[in-house]
Amino acid sequence: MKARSLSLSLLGLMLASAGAFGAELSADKIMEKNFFASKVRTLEKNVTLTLADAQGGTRERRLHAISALTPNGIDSRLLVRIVAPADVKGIGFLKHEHLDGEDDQWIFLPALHKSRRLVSNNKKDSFMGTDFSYGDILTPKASLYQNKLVGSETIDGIDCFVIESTATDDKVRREYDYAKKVQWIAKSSFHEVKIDYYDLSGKLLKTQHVKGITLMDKENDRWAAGTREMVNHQTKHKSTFLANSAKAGIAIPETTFSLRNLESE
Amino acid sequence: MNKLFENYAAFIVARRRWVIAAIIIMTGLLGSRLMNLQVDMDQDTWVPQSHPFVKTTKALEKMFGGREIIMIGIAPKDGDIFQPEVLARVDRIQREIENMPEAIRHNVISLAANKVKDIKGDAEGLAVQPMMAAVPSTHAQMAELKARVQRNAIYTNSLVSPDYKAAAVIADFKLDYTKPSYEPLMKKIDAILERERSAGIAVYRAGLPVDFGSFEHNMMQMPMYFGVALLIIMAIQYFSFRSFQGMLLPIVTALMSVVWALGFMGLMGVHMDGLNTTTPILIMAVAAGHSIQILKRYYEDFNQLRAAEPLSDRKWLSQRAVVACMGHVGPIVGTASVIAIITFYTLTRSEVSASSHFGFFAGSGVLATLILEMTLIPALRASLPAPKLRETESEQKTGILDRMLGALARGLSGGSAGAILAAGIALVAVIGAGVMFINVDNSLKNFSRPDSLVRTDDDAMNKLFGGTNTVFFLVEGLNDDTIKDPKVLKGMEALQDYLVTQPHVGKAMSIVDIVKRLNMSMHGDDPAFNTIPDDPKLVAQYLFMYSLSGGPQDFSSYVDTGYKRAAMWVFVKTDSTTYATELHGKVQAIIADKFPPTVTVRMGGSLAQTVAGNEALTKDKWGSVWQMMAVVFILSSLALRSLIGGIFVTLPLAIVVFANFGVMGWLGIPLDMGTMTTAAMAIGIGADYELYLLFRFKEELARTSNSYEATRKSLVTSGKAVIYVALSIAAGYSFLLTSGFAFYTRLAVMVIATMMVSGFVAVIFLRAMTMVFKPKFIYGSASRPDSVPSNVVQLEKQA
Repeated sequence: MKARSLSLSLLGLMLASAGAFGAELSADKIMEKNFFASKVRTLEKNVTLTLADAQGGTRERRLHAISALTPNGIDSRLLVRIVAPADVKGIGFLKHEHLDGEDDQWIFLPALHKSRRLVSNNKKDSFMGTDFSYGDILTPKASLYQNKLVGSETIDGIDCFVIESTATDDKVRREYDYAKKVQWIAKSSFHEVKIDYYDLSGKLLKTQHVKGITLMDKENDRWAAGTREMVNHQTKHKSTFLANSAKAGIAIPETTFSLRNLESE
Repeated sequence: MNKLFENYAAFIVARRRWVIAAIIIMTGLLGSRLMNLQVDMDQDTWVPQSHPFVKTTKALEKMFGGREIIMIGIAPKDGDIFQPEVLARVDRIQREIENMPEAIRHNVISLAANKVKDIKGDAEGLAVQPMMAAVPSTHAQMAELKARVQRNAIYTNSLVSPDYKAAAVIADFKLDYTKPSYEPLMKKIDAILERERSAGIAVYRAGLPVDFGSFEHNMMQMPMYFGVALLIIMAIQYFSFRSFQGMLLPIVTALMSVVWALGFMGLMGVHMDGLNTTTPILIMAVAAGHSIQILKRYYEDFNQLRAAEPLSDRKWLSQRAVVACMGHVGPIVGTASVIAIITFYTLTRSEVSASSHFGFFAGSGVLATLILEMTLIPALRASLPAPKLRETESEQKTGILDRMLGALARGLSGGSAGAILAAGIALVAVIGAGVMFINVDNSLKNFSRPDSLVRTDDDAMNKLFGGTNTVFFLVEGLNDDTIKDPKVLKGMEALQDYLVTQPHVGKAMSIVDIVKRLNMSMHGDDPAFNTIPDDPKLVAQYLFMYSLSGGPQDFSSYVDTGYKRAAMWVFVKTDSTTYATELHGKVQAIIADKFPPTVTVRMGGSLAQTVAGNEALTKDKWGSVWQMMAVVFILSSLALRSLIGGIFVTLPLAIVVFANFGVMGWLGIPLDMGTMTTAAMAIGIGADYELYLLFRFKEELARTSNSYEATRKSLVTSGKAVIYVALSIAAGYSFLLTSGFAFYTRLAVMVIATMMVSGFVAVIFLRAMTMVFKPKFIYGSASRPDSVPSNVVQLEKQA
């Protein structure tokens, strides 16, 4: 009898907690917080990018990346310079994001001594030849998906909300190439810890694992990932971004993101 | 030897109930293993795994895919592909196939695939965008798509026909290779394509899975063909014995032999493949053939015993007849079966699994037949009621066949043996001359008839696109980034440029096309820059630049991740293996001249694999024929205790094999995996015929001391049975002529021809040889008169 009343009390407590979550933080609210969680005002990183194929072949590239948020607090400026391997060293990639329009992108090829504007603005396109798409890197607005809080789960020791996000319409589905995402969002930082991506036929396509989430801007509660690993379950291809060093809050002049700076070897 | 078999038969007859019970239990046990029997449609079963072309193909498939490629063509009957209803079909087929669980999603390409990019450059920028992100709905959008297709020549002849009258979806699939099955895959694909066909738009499909799917579909019809073959053989048995009992026993033995052999295959984990689907008919026919010989002799011995002891109990006489007949034919059944078993088992050494499986299955089938004939037949015959008078009388009734055989015996004994032998040699020489025209062709596509959907679709696709037959070149360096080396890329360019000038080559594609296109795009689409840059860093940087817009799998069909290896895809409109072999020879000079010495270039692909299959077949053909001949010679020499006896059995078989290949040459039937087995069949079964006739002739000569009598008696007993056996096998296979599947019809034609030639050689040629040469192992040292007794002539005339 005593055991039964204890079980009932626990059940009541759990229901009350669930109710509290529902009342305080809706799935949309969690995803809105997630949208801003990784938007650090200025950030400089040294990154190792590893690509691994199904046959076990791997390629490694080292990059130096500088990014800064624009005054609207959403769009970024990004400059990536390839450090290694030698044959692509010096390649520069400049990107000006426009959340509601087409991004501007340029590439500089040192062997050609020329820069070119790149016309490619598909969210589903691969980001720098990796298993990440531009849509995975630039988190979409929460309103593009119907978000549903489906539970809580601990991933790698981090307590997470589990949010199921379904594309609101066909346009979003075709634009991002996903029918659904299941996202594990850290309760403490609202940074994503894991995301499962489902293709348009509903099959699991990719899984992203995020590790080493570090607070970069205490004042604005902004975080950065130490490692992002994306596994494509269908091609067995894997891409990993590993931040070897990261500095936030540094002063970056606006000219850093200019075409002239891109072309300076 | 005969006494030994008589004692053995007496032992079986005395314990007939136990023997029958043991056989039933054994049948149950082996029958239960039928569930383990696995149908195997794996492509690998048809090719020798150690052949360089096969090894290269496997390496290519592992790295770049392309194992199960299906090419789908969408062709409007009026106008070009730049119509919304055509492109919508391309888009729908692309999406539906992408979403199939068997599809390798990133290897499904068409104008609608995300991976298929338009690379466009101008003075300011570079655009790498999906060729057709959405189906154009306005004239402007359609014109833009057309411009995109025109400026990316890499897709011409592969995804679009040069005249834009057809568009293609090329899809790669992955099957469960523990039990590969193509028919279910093809059913799903055909369901998708059927929805897209209309009066104004044709949809075609071609590729190895299509060919294998058709093969599997026809293979699944085999139980029906087997059933009909069974009925045909039953009818011939009934005609032979003119009694239900006479028909029943061989059929029960035959069916049980098939169950045992199949169960044994299941037990040993040997798979059932396309080539083996007709083997149950062979086993059934062989088993029925031996049973006919045994039972014919049983009736003969029973009649003799009954005539000698009319007052004895018929059941007791029947059991004694069983013992006597086993004494007479047991040694022949044993020797002939052992020869056939060893002959078929020698094929298990073949490196081609399909051929090896056939050897195992046929050998095991004959072994099962031998066991059952030595146990079940005497036990069951001794248990059954003795034949009724009416039954034995009708069995003994002479007909036109007996009269013809009698006339033949007279001809052979009346001094015409030499002429018959000479005429026989001349006939065989004429038939055998066809061997000069024999064509080795193991092409899977040609297993279907020219008017079949498989072939007509394939023809249509070959007319529209670069070709449905693939040849790959695997370019391999010692280190990563070898392929980015301009020297290697220029070598590939030279090879590619040479290949496209060759007749029948419709398309050649490689990473070279992408590098050249990127170079041109970065120079404002100036055609002067449609070249490989000399700076290796620039090549690397172009490829990196592409990766900013493309996906990680965009080049997965062309280069590996480390750029150590590259694949060049060559589409060819012919499946001629002679052509492929010549092409391989021609490109060697270019490879030696244009590539750095540290780089290897090897050939593979579906067409190259067919070449490998043919080479193995040709090598196997002579290798296994000689092996089998040697086995027959040794065993028959031992059985007849004479080397000359061995020659008397082996020589007619060599003639049959020679004629077998000659028939193929004259009739234009290609030597393939199926028709090749008929040579093995000719030796394995033909040896039976020779032995039955030689033993019977020897027995009758010893009994009558008259060559004519011995000839006549051996012909109307064993010779007649040989004719019924040959007829059973030929008739059993004859229903395959209606299959509509060329592989089966060709096999049926060859089995029928082989059985006709085998029967002719055993019944006429061997008899003539015996009469002309009068070998000691038969005649001994005493002279035996050949003359036909005058009373016999008189009696036969009256008959």
